[in-house]
Amino acid sequence: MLAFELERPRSLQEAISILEKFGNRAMPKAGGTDLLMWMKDRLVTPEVVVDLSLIPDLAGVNFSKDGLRIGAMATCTEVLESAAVEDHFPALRDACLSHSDWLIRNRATVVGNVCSAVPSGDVMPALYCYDATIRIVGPRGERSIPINKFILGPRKKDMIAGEIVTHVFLPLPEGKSSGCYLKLGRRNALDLAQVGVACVAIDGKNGREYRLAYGAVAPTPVRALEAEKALQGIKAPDDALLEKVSALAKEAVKPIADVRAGVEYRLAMVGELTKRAIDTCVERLKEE
Amino acid sequence: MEKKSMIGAWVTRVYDPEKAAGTLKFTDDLSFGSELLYARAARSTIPCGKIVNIDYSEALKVPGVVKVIVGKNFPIHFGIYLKDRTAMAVEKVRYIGEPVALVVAESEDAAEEGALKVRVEYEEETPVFDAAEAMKENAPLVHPDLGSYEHVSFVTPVPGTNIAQHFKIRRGDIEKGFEEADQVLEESFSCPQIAHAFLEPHACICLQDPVSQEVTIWSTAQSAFTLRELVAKGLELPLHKVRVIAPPIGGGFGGKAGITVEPLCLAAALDPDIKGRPVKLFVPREEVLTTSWVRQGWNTKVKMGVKKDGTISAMKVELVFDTGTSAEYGANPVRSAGYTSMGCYYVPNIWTDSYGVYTNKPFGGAYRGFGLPELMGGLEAVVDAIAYRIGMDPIEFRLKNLLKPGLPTCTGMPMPPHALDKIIKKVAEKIDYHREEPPVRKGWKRGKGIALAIKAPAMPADASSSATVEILGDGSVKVLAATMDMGQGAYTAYAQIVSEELGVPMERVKCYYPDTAAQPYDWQTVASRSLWSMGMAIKRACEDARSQLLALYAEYWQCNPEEITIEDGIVKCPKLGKAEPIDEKTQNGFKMPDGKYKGGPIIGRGHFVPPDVVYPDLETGQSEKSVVHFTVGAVGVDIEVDPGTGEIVVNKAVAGYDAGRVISPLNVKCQIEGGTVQGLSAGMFEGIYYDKNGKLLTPDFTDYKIATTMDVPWEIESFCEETPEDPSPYGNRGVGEHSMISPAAALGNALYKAIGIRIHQYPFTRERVYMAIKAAERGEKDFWG
Amino acid sequence: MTKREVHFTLNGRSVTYEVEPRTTLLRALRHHGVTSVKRGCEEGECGTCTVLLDGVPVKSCTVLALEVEGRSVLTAEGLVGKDGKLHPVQQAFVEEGGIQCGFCTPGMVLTTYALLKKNPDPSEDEIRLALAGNLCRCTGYTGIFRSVKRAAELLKDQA
Repeated sequence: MLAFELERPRSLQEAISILEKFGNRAMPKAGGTDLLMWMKDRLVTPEVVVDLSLIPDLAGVNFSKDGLRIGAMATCTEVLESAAVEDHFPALRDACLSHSDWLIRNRATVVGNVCSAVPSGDVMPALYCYDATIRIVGPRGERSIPINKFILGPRKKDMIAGEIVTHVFLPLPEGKSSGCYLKLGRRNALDLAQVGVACVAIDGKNGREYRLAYGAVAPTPVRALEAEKALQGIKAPDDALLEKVSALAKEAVKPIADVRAGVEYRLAMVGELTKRAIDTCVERLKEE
Repeated sequence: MEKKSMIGAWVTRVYDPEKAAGTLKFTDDLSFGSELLYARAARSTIPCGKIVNIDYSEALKVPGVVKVIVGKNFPIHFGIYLKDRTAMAVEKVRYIGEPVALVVAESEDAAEEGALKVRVEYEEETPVFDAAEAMKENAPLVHPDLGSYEHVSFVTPVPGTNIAQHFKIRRGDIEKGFEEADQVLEESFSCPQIAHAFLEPHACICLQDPVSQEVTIWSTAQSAFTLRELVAKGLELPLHKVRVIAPPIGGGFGGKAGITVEPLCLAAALDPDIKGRPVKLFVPREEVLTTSWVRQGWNTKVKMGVKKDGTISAMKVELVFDTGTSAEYGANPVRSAGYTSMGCYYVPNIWTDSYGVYTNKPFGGAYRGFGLPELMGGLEAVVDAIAYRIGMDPIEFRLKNLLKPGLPTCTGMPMPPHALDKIIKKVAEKIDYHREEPPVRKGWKRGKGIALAIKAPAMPADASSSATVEILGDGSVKVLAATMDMGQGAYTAYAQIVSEELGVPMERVKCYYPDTAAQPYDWQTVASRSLWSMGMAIKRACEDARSQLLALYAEYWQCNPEEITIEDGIVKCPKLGKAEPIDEKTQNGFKMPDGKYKGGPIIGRGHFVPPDVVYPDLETGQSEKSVVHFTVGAVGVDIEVDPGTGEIVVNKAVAGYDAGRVISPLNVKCQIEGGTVQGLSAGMFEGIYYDKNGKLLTPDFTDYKIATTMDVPWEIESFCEETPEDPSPYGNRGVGEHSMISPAAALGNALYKAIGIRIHQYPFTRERVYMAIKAAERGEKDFWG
Repeated sequence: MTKREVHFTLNGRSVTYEVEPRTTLLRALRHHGVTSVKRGCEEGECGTCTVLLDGVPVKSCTVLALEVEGRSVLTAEGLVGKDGKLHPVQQAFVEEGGIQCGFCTPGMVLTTYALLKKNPDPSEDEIRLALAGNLCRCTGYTGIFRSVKRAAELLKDQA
């Protein structure tokens, strides 16, 4: 790894001023499981790494009647072990559990996974389904931005030098809900998704509503809005509808071929996992 | 009370406590003080071309960089079978990732930074990546100088082509054999290169004494003595001026046999500006596959003539191994597959061509099974496919054509005794092969498959072993036997032998890791040969030590040596009523009845060389005894496939081998478990892939996937038959590699049963299996994608 | 880059290392002779560098040494008793054939130790899930599964 300086600020203000001072030459670090590997491979070469782990404001997972706040330093393990996440955001729990392995989950953070912004990032499809917003502070103050506006492309996000994501916020689904994240990899653990599908079903004011989001099949995670529309209000979608929905989902994605999977397989799996994810959500809602 | 034999005793393994504690030191764990320098390679960015210029001036400016060495500074060809390899590219690069320069620095970080700053100018040439393409006339030559390379007599390169090795079997009358057949069928299967994926990357420290010129090498080496010999030959040093110390290694599987990364480190350590300082080369994970060898890619094509009753009348086999840019070691698995190309079957008329073919890719070499997982991965799929095509039960077809003891193999050598028929039946029974069972998982497809395994130790006819056994002054025993115990448990089995033969408790026997300066010669820890060959040497050394000790006691006690026993470390003469523990007399000498001292330290020595192997004839492959012995076995799997995704789950895996005699049951069980999973992992996940320019896409564990705890059966059921081998220490024969040979083929055969289409390309990834299922739904019977 | 001091508890005793900011915990420990922490990939994949950081298993190649300031690090050596006796988890690996080459073993042992602290009686699925980040190429994991089960028994007997 190339040499760099490490800063370990104890407050947000301090972190922001360091990041602002060094501009593009500095990068913030949460869990570091992506960043340190990228630095090792010299994909990024910051001169200053700003470790956020000592900033109290960034810790923890907090649940209130409005929703869930996941601090920038909350690890995947913390999130998936949170009772509130299990009860109200099961798709996120699945996503955290599918990420890498226990040891990595003990370091890797949910916010870090978002900020890495790689197309296969496991937690993002679930956050897209839960309409998560990204809370940012920076030299010009605080701002809040929906996750789908925050993620701009592979490893690209709407952030400027000096800014820090403090947390993501997930509003509580308005109504009884269920969710899941289905991940297909080359093997069952410690792999990048070939296809990741998050599905959330909510029995809200306007009846049953579905949300579907996909990872690893487009430059950014994508919602399949047409597919969601086709399902609107239907509590027990039949096979014909599931076929139609999975076809619509395939239209929403644009996978590439790489060493992990080809286009045809990825598209087929978008279809297959869509059906399975919807089934799972429908079943989970019946159970409760 | 009958004394319980240590041979076959269930004992835990020596060195495991230190491994569990983490206190055992591997090569990368050794300290060498502040004089230690670090080396890191700068690597080729093109697959084929001339080196026009190497500019390392910027590298030299990196603080801490001491020197940059390039290929032409160290143009020595090192190698075991075919010397086609140099530590770094000299004048010409042959694959992306080939070392072109070596940066030596005061720290690892400085060496890494320096390596990034080496700039190379090339004149690009046309590469060839596919072995079939490379075999064509007018294909670009990877090694235009092939004719000038030194090689051993039993390797046969074809100069002026890309064929680094061509092994032939010509037995019987192939045309007549096909004429006699009622059906002639053809099948082919292929597999990409795969990686050993041992968890310890290669590491090596080299030091040359500037005065004596003696070279010391600490290395992650399976074979300290062969490494010593190859280094000495390359450097033109006498053997005693090269010392190899091999600390415990973190997995080898053939990938640390012979000579691997050491020349690259030597290039630095021998440099006149560096000599006298130790230099360390740690090969980072992402560079392992471009620094040392992988398993060769292969394509197996079989044309088989079968009579109405299911008897095989003729077989024409073409094996094409993609050996990448070097066949230095890889030439020999090509040969090994060739002289076993009948598989487990009696084939009266057989014609085999086994080729090792150069391509512009990282190179192939030894990997657990050594040509046999490659051969049997193809042949056992072929046999299964042909059984179905002629409408015969695959197990019946196998049993009908089984290479029974006494029948000739493809080299003409009579097959030694074995219990393969019994093993096949047992495996079939254990997975309930003939019973079609519903899938355990809703909507999945279930299938069962079986595949046979066979392998001989593939080694030169004169691969020898020697050992010494020293009885220390308190009755404990020091064993010097330069096998590398890399997890297979050799030292545990050796301690059992010594305990058995000398009558001392096993806990008082110690085997040491290899050091060529301290230990007597052993060829290599490869070929599943050690407990057989070194076992012979150790047993003989024990006999020698024991007879020395008994002779001294006989004189001391004034009795006959035959009247003395040693049990549990106590020397006894029941007739005289004497009994005493072995003590310092065995070290310092016995004060005999005449008052004079006799004896001194008791060191037993033993050696062994296979007595009767004759190299196969180069034109026909025929030999009265081509190999020392064969170990045979069978694997059965019961699997399920998720048709929606192509995922495979192994419900059950059973493996049985004829071990001759099981000396160390825990070791044998664990070897079978580990090898079976390694084979299943290869069958489901593993392949090395390149982009169209020959750039490696799977350099590390991010994209080279091996099985995790989430991907394997909870249990592997294993068993052994024991048909004794002769000569052999206790009737035992090799079993270390064999469990890796056939799991992938068994998986493929089960997959066919489950999904009704034959997949002709390994590995059976989810994507490939899914695509095959889709093809099956279109009515196709074979899937080649 | 200039070196800085980091103070932490290593296997129960206080230590101070001087490290560069870029030095990972893996490299720092190894540099100071704590070589049970293996470097198998340095990319967060293989698990041979596992340590317990404040009791939580992590891959030490993904941690900067300076980050462990004031924290506690446990390695496989630290599990061994003062009398040289192996910890029951280590003993179980010896008894059940959970070890071959030994390179993954210190990491496997630590992850198992952490698992059993958290869940003294894990199911088959829980064992698989907990150990998924520790690769082993020799054993096929079956001996390791037996070892974890055995370790759970030994710890129960001890309790």
